[in-house]
Amino acid sequence: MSSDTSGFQWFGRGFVALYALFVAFPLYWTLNTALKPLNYIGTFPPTLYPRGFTLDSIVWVLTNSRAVNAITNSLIIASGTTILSVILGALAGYAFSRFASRIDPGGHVSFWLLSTRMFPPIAVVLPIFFIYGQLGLQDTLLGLILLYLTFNLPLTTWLMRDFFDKIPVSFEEAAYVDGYSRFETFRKVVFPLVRPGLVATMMLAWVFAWNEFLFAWIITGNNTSTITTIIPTLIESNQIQWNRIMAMAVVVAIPPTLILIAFRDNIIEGMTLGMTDI
Amino acid sequence: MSTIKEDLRRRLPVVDRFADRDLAPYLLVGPTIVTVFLITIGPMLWSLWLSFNRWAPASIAHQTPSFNGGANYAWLFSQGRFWNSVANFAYYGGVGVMLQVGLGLFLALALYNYVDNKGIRIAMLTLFAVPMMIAPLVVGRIWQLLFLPGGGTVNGILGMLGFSAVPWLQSRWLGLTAIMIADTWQWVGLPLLIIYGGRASISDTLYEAARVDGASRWMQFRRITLPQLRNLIAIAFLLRFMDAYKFFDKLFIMTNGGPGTQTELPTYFTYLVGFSQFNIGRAAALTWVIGLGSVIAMLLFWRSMNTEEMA
Amino acid sequence: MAKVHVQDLTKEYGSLVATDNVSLDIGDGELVVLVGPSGCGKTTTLRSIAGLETPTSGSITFDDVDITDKSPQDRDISMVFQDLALYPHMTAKENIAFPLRAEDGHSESEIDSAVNDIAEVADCDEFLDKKITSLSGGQQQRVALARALVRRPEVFLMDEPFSDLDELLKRQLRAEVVRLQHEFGVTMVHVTHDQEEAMTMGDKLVVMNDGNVAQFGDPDEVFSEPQSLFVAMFIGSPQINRFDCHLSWDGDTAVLDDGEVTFEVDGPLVDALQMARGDEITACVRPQLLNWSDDGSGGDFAVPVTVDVVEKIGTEDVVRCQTPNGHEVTAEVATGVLDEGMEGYLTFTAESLHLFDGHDDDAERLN
Repeated sequence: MSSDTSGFQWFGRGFVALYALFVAFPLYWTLNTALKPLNYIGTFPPTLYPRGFTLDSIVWVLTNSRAVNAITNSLIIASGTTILSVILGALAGYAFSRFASRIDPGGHVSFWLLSTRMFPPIAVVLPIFFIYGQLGLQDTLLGLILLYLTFNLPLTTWLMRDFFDKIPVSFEEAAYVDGYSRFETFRKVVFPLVRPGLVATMMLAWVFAWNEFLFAWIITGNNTSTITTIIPTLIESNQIQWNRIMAMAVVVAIPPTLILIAFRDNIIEGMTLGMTDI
Repeated sequence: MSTIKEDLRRRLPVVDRFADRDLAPYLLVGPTIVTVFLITIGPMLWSLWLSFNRWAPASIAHQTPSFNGGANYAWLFSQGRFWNSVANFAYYGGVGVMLQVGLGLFLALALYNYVDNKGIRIAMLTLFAVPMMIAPLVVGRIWQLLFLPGGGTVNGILGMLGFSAVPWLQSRWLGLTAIMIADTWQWVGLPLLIIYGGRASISDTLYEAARVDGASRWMQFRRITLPQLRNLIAIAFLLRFMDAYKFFDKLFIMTNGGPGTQTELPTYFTYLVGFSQFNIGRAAALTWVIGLGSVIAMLLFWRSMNTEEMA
Repeated sequence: MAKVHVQDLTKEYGSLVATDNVSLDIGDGELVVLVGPSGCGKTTTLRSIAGLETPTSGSITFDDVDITDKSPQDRDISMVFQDLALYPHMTAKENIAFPLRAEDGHSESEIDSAVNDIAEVADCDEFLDKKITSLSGGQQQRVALARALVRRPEVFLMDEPFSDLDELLKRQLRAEVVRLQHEFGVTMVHVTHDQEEAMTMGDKLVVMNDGNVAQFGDPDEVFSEPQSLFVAMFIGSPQINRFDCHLSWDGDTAVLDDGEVTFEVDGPLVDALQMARGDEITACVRPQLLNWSDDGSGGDFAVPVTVDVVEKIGTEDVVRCQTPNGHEVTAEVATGVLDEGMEGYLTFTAESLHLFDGHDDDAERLN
């Protein structure tokens, strides 16, 4: 960049830096609140660092039976729905990628599939609640696992198709010509190449299920409360235990954040529905 | 390296596989199509039927659905509370989404054009993506803490800077604004990442040619950057707008629709009608009004995009 | 090794006809090149031989065995794809060994020695342990060749894999492929849109246009006796000179008039012209068979021209000339003879004249 642009350059950089601070501050504040005792919370002026540093709140979350129960439930539900949605979505995504001219001429089916994800979830859960009542699926892990497919299955199908599209068809044709069956071709050629995309898709599906609130709030009761459903109720004690609430927030936020950092490129690609490839 | 899908709908390759007769493709998509039908399409069709019925399982008189024509729709259009929630959505969805996409556009271009170090750029993109990974409910909780009226961090910092405290979350517009700030904090990353990817895929030669022709910075933005990013900006708008329609978690935790019912959004109102008043027919009518509203808004949006293109 | 016979192959995609009753006879150990402009059906024909497309109608046999309905796995073929289809998650060596691993009963040491042997022949033994992505374009081509040949297939297919390479490398690899094909004696079908590549590599050429075989023959034949106007125009560089003429008769003499130049034809060509269906004739002559003459003598026909551009291509010059009315005529003459702006005549003999029955691509040869 030439020198006459330096004004713009510094303004742009300054703005990015300020915004980065704005993004980072609440993250920091969450940690800051989780790591200090209650008497340093809500003070004026604010206590800008974890004064009286303590891991009590974190320990409380990890030992409190209700919280541990919810974490366990969320792990089971998120993992179950991830496995189901990735298996089904990978099969469908492969078909949409490779047999598009036959099963999806014009791209309407796959677009329609994705568009179901754009309906307000309340529109889905309202009828489902009563259907589940009939089927005995309310307040069960299985019920929530299946319900989470409503948003995860279109996502995994769409993303897997995108990742399969990046593998040239000729790779498979070459293996056929060399004498490999379809299944063997998938195992030896397609699978190793799609694996990073598959992992990112799994991670995203997992994160969306882990973070979900409305469905869980409506469908679950005491048996199967999830991490998000206990967050609103933690506040209902005599004194608002902000350090414990934020400790819970930290525990909830850490797995997705680690996933983002570990699988950054593919996760970002997945978050933007395959549009951004950094 | 960046690549961009020109459109959400992609062009389909003419691949005709050797086994034209086999069933594999149908077997592969079958389970997904059936599942989506069972858990999404089917229930929603049932709810369409329900929207023309009086059904309030909690009341003795209306234990089972009974047809009542368009009474549910007539009821909801007569509710000041419903129109209040629509007005809130217009503010939150209009201003909030505009803010998110505008900020995302500016940040993406500033990051791409003015931050030379690739490591810093990647670190920034990752940082801006972190809030998107956190549960919206948790984000609501975090911002609730920051916006607490007494002893909240935002007011604390304002106080340190010599400003007086703001009664965040305690009135309609301030409450909606606070929620909007929290939502913007979480979601600026999406338009930012989409637009950043789009900018990175514009060939440098376009700008070099413009500079050779003596185009000013503003002309380069108007004549190259904006037209090239147009579709992506539109997609970012659509994605955020659709999320705005679905918006629930942060509102639930930050204001609970309050004070009173002042900050309710349509989905939240639906939730209360359905799961607090247990008036299922009315709630179903609400979901369909919201759903159709989103479809109409989307179509109008595309229409205006296309006429602009022709002009 | 096998004879390949394609009979009335037709492939339709909806209303689009990719190949229309294509028939070919490829002898054992022959190198046949399918050549034509894009969309002419050459790749569809190749992919049908490979089994990657199912023909709408027609049949394909290898050594008289009908394989039309067999899957590619059961055809004993190998193929080099346009994008090479080398697997980025494997090393060069693993790529070459890949076809062998599809077959049961090879021990690791057998595979190893087979890979090393073919790598030596295909000149890629030096980078066997590298990942595909770290190899140059030319190296990747060699690995792809080795992978295709390691199994010693009955039929070896190539779908213009050289199109992205620079000229020098392209020439090297063409020679290499021809050498390997001779060495193994394998039946080979090669697809290209590059007529020069087709001429230098093929034992036989199949010139295709619009889903049809325009001509099937050895390169000399295709060059010197093109059977249709399309083949004449497509094969040969620089492109053949063309005069769209009107035929009239002056007693026994045929007069061909393109509006500016007239050719008065008698002798054996008259018989040919008598077979014309109408009075539209296209007369063509190869640039290589034109001679320069200051006064128009020294040939059966002479075209008055001015030299417009001289392109040096080595021992010869390609001279682009114009008639007074602006019709372009190209000649290839000894270098250094002509200069821009010179006026004179391009002359040629009656034997070098190609006559076609009409002005369309499918106009048939008359003489």
